[in-house]
Amino acid sequence: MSRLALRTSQLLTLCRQCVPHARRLPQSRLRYLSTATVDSVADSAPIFADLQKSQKRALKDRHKGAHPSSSFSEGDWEVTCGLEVHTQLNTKTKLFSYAKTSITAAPNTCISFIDAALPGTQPTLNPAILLPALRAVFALECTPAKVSRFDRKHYFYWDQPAGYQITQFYEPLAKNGRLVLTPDADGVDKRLELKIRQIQIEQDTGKTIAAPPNSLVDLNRVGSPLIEIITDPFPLDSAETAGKVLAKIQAVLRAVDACVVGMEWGGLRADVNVSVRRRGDPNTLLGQRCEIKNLSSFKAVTDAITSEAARQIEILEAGGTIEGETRGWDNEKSTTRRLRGKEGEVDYRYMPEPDLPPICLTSEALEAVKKDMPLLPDQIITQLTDVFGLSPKDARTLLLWDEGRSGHPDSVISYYKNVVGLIQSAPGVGKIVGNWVIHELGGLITTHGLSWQKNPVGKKRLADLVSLIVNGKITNPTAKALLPRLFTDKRIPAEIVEAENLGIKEMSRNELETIIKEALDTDRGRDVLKQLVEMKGDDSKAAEKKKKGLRGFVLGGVMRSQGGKVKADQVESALDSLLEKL
Amino acid sequence: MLPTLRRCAAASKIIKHCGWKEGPIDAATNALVNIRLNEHLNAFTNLQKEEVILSEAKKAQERAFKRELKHALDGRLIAIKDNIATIDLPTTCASYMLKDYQSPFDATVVERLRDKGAIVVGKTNMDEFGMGSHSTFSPFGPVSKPGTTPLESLAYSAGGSSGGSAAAVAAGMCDIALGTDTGGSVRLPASYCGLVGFKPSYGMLSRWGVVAYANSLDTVGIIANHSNDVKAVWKVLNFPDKLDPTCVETGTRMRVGRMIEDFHRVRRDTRKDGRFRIGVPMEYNVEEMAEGTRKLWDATLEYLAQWGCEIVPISLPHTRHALPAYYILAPAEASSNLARYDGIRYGTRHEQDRDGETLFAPTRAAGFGDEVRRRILLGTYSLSSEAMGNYFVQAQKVRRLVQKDFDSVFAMPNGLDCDGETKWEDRPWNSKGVDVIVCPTALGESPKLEDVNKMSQTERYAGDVLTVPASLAGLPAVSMPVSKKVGMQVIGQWGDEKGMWEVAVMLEKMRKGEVGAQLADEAEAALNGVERVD
Repeated sequence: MSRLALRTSQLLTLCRQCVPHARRLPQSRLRYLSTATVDSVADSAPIFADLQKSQKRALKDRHKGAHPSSSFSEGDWEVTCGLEVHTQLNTKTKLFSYAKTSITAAPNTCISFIDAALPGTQPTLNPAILLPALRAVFALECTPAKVSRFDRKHYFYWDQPAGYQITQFYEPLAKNGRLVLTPDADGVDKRLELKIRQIQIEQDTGKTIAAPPNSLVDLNRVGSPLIEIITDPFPLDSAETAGKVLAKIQAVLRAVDACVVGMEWGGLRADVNVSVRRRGDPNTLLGQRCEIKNLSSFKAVTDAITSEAARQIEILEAGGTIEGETRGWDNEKSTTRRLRGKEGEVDYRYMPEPDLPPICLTSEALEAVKKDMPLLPDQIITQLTDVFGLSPKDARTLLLWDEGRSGHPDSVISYYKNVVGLIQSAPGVGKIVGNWVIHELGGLITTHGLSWQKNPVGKKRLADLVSLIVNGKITNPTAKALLPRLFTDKRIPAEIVEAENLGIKEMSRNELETIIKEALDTDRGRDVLKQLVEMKGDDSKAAEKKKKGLRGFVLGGVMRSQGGKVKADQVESALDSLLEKL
Repeated sequence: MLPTLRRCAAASKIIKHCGWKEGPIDAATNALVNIRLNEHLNAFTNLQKEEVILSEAKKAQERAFKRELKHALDGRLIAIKDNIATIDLPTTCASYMLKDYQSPFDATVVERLRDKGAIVVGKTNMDEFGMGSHSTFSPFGPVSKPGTTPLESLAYSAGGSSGGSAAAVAAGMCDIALGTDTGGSVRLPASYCGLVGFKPSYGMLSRWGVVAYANSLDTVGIIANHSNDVKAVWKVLNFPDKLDPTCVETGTRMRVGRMIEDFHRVRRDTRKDGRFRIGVPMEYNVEEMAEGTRKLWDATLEYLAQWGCEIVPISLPHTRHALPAYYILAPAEASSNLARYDGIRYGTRHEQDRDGETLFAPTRAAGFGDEVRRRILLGTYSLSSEAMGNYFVQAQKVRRLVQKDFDSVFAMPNGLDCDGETKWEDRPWNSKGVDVIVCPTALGESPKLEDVNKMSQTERYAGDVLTVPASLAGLPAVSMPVSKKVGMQVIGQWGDEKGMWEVAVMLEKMRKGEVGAQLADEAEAALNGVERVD
């Protein structure tokens, strides 16, 4: 206790000085709120891996026909599911205190007096949480409430210091939203539109760390700002769909910079309600639902739904009835297990939080948030394909590369857009830059084992390089050879080209013909030339193909001899005229 | 070597100005003697070390010599109720659960007083977590009212829950004491001990560091012998605090302050002699009221009438529902607030919980006293999903009605009431309304502790009937010692401490004038003659 007291008293100096306290948030103030957590970037890898894995799995399943038990599109039973998704808002400090929201700090070092529920403490709303929360509200197309209030939800648990969680039960932040999943963007079989019932702000709990024979409690997470997103029940054609809904929610929230990434880090957790009913009669009510608590990966969500639906179907087919209960997921046994039944259900005794004033949002503040909303993933794809002329595949690659951080100034897509903006506009430049960013630069970064944040080629230098190509100053092969050098050479490409005389050589037709002749002045060359001359006038498909290969050989030879500094089309036409002459 | 104050003419002027009979060192020494002599009152849970008090007093005295006193409160001795956090003394809330709890911070109110040079003499005993009306539910023993003989001193209740604060002031152990008033916990002890006990408007004083019993009702209160001292402390503490989200912001304070200034200016200008209109709520004349109390009430009103006040009978029809509403709302909030005491992070932990089988059930069973457990259960029930609608929600509605009752009788609109379309400036004053309400604080004089112990719970709860309505409405109220045995309460509109104090000071002067003294004596004689009606 003395240790805690020491730490918390250090924190006090901080919080006494800088507790801003806003009921109404003026528009001007809201705009300047920043929403970056200290260490979110470094931790984004696991969730990205998870996302990719789930997508790969979905793809594989589609190819070989989905796993029988996880598909519900056929058979006698319809499966319905509702999600309650908890995700941590992207803020530096906690919901009601000025302790940091760190996921990497040593246990029990980010605690203020209120987080430890010391006697005599009161919560003060941190206004910085409103920006990410409202972005989430708009991203999920919800209607924000002009006035929302906080309530206390009571239950005893050792990681819940106050004995209650402050949440929004009676008057939540926003209601009535929707989320659309499409086969193209999200890999679902058919378009799925689901309703978001409400979004509420709430406190996180502490974390229990198992250290047999003890359980250790880390209070760093206590009071971290969460939003809970509650969906209406929606029909499931397969358990994977639920995972995809979660992935979509996460992608959307990441895109608008609302939440901290990563299910593994507690950045996103879900409770899933599952019910089954006989297929066919749309008038029958939904079946009795069971809630599976605290699922923290996409795989756990998918597996838990599969297992729970099977369990319920088995009971019903044996003539039994489903009892409404709360269940937990056993990862090792891959089954759900009963936590408590209806009679053991916790009565949360919701009570209005007497210390906190309501959140009153002015329409100006809401408009300000709306105006500065980053683009959603679907909107980014549309923009990249329609405005920048990228193929949908390349657009998705860029989006995936960003792991949903496309709104950030240091994201790949911002980099891409900046490079395009820096180049004197020319037709098709968007596609060319796309190619260079994704395939050339992306390939090099991967082979160097770097993360995107460590990309050594600044936007100006890549723009310079691409301009050189577009303006016909250097050839593609020169540019390709130049790019890797830019990783270590800090000069701009134009400078290097100038210094090393890498620019395209302007040559007359005769000069070129001479060069070609020199290049073909070998045994193999002479043989190629002979064949080409023989095939003159032969327009058959086989001959065309053969000719193409042979001409490629000539071209390659010339390029090699000239260090790639001649234009390929000029060489081609010189070759044509040479063949005419022969 | 410190020169004796009395020899220094300049210093004695300062001392006179500050209301000290002697210098801070003499005052502190006297208080320490009183503390030692009155240990049997159980007024304190933890005392400041004597040498700390004396060294602080010495510093204050030196400042007095140099004419560098920080404030009128510099060097004054203040006792703090034990549910207000202090960084140098334990904050136990008179609960076994927190018997060794040391807060890592000072409550805002304590910090402000220390800034002005006030000396904290100790933490005063109380009902556990503020739940009670006689300061008997305490592991530190019951508090008793100081009397003229030691035997008398053990016999009577000092009131509660801030009984320790009242006893400490009454016995001369400190000059001023802070208490907390949730449903009358400052006013009732002040009434029993013949002191001034003031509960400010809800939201005026910061509650940061005040251990919550029922957040929506809790206020920090002030107890002293004279209204001057109470007002001095009130002025030091009456500021917004960003750490307490319920502490009223500067903007609202200024807005309401302007309205009140306007109102009193108009009152002085338009009414004959600027006289006050005093409301007398008929519903407060309950059957259980002692005859002497009623007489004293009459006498007080007669005195006020002679002073030039207009006495107006008023009706607050929902008064009889206020008490049950209070005893649903306060325990409901308490059951929530006290959920944090599990012995895991701080506080007393039961041995059984350390063994590993259980986590905190035995701690909570053993750590709380009977009354606290009773109220936790009561509150847990009224918040449960089956009872919520019938109890908690209904009680909230009653609370609103009680509030509306008050708003309808006061001449001034409620400065916090801004749900209507009309701006507060445009809202009309109720020309027939009253400025303040005057009524007794308690039904009768202080009961004997042995009688208190025989009372049933509902009988105990009924003792709060006259103080609870002002708490539910968040109104400022002060209990004035018109008699040494029963106090008269002056209740004002929200934020109108100004009007409330003007009338309260009239009552303070009642015994000084010939007529007033005679009236009071007659009533007091009646009080002595009639036994408490149970």
